[in-house]
Amino acid sequence: MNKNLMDFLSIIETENRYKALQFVLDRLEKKELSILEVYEEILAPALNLMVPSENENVDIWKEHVRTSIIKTILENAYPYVMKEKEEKGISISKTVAVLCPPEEYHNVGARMVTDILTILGYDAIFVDSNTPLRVIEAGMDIRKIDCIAISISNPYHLVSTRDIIEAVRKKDASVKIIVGGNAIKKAGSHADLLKADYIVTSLKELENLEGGTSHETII
Amino acid sequence: MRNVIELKKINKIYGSQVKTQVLFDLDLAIEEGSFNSIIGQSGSGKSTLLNIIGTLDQPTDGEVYINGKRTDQMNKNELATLRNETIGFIFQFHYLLPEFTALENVLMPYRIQYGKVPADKLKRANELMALVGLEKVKNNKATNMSGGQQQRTAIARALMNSPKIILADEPTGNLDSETTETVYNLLRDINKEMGTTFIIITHDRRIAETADRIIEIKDGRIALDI
Amino acid sequence: MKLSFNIALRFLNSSKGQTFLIALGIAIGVSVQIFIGSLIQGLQIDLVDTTIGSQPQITITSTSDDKLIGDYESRLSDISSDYEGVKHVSPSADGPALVTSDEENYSILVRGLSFEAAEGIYKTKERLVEGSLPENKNEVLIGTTLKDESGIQIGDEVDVLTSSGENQALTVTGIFDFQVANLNSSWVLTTLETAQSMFSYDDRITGIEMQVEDVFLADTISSDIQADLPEDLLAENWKDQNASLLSGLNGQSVSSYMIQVFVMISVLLGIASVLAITVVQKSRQIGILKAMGIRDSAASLIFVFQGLMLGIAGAILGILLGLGLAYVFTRFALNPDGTPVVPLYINPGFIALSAGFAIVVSTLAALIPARKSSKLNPIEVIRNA
Repeated sequence: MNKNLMDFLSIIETENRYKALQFVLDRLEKKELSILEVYEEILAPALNLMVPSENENVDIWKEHVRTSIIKTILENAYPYVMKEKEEKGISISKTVAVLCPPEEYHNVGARMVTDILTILGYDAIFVDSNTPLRVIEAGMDIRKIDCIAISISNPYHLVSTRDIIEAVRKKDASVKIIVGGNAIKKAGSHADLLKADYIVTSLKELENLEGGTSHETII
Repeated sequence: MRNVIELKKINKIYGSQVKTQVLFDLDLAIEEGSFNSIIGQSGSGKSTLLNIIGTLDQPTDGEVYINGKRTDQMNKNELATLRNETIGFIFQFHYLLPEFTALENVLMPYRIQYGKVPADKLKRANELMALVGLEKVKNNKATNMSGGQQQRTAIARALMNSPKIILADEPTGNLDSETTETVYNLLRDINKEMGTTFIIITHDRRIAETADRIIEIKDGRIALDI
Repeated sequence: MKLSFNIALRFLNSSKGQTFLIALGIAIGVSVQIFIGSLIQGLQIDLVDTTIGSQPQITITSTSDDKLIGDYESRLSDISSDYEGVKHVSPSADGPALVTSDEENYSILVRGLSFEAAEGIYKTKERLVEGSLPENKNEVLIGTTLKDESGIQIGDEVDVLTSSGENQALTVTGIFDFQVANLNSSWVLTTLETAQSMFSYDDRITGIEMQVEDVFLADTISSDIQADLPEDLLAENWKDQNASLLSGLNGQSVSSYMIQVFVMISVLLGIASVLAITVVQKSRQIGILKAMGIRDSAASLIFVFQGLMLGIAGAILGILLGLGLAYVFTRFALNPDGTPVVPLYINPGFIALSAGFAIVVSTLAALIPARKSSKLNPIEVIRNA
């Protein structure tokens, strides 16, 4: 565990929103960490590494508070996202809609994906959590969507995700589908059932979409 | 963990003139002590699957093992005894006997098997009523209880003979969301504390989301198993 | 067993109205049976009593030329001691004669009786409407019809001409009424000795008459007696002489049985169909009980117990109802003299039989729904929620 994460954990343990925000913004401002590093090495682990206690309800309380702090950080990091995008200067004229399936309310991952895709040069739209199929279809009607990225936390939503993917393909076979999230990690090889074009298990893998290290163009 | 339920190549065909195949070569193994939820659209065959697991229905072919015993070749009396001792049922329409009080309903599985109720079993029934939070209404007739109370009584009844397996078909399907929460938490607690294996058919996201395993049945086959 | 009984009781208890109606249906069947049975039996007993109750039911006569039976004393005592069911054995010495009064001749049958022994058969004391029984030789009783027709009064001395042409003066000491015109006009009762001397029978008689405990066994007893009699003596019983009465009684019995059988069949069908409906009503409960592991046999027993309990309740209610009906009938359906039109015969054995029959029938009727419930598959109930 790196030092930054340990420091951050000790702050967020106290549920001090402002301190936590300052800690991250400070690292970004000093360019000690990139957005990708902040998301992958600090924020995501901070959410995933919560140790369950005896009392489930207290755990949910704590998780909610912590999620809310992370969201504050995400919103405030947006200027740095744009800054990194400009610095990178890549523009890929492809539109990616990032969303969660219906009834899936865990949107932090989707938000992070949107930011990373933005930095990578995509026109990334954060459609947010709990997005029913008819809403996705409506979005596809008003503008050209090249790719849909679906973030799924609970395996239960793999079922509706599979159905959404099937329906989207029926509507527009050219749309590429990316799936990711905790549910995908848990599902392991079962995730193939979704018939997505690309399965990502880390934010870093998003770099590979357009060639990248694997030289395999997905989108 | 060993498998408490094992299905091998289960086929189920209804009707003799017009044949409708509901389940296709279905294999399924359920671990002891696990909390499983079965999802699927109506008509997918999920209820048939649950009824076959519960020995209420027989597969057209295939093998069913409950607690290590093959059930698809047992006679009706052996099945009745197996159900009584090994399986607790919770249905959407709770199915209490309206002629009996809540406590008597809870005692019914014991009386079916052993007849007279000794003091320690009566104590257990009372404890189960307390567990589901119904000590105060335990002497009410089933018809004088709310839907949630009836469903909790059905849960207590399912637990009476300390079954290894509890099968529930839409246990919260008829309840409001607050009661659903109570019933769901109760099931989860029982699973954790007593190690009872649960297989629950549900449309309820909250139940399915927290299950150890989600099995989606689609067109008589397992479409998803996570 | 106990659980099935318990569930049956709860099922019955939970739909009290329905339970009461079924029990009432059985009860009405049982009460009709008891009432009709008691009525028919009462009617028969009354009819038999009036027809042959005051008559000998077995008569021994001689087939010898003189039609006389000698040495009868020992035979009388033999018959009363040797044959079970025989009561009131009485000798009679009968002979035809003519009586003249006011220049008119009346044909009569002089019947010499031992009044003491004959009392059991003819109940002469009861039948006596005027005067007293003959005590001395040549004293007689005449019937009311003869009295009215001939004008003979008590204390009159009448001349009687026997068939052998002998004249005898007899004194009338009393008037009887057997309520049968024929007897009232032709019979003249006197002592055995008077008749024996009038007709020169010496110490012989013309017949031995007797009644039996159970009138319907008269033919059997009669043939038993006949078997021990010498050839020239003939035992006859009332059944041989009253064939038409018997067939009437038989017809009555048969129609009574028919009514009772059909009443019970309708009760049976009623119970069976209502219980069949309750299986449908309770199919949910049966289904859930089976899901919980109750055996088919125990599930069936629930309905058998229901039939049994309904039968018992219906039988008890039916007995009360039937007896009540009987009481009302004997109380309000009266002759002008205040006696019941038909005296009912309350036979505890018959009532117990009717009640037992109803219980058996109800239980049997419950077998149909019991079978149905045994076949009920819990999956049907659960699937058709």
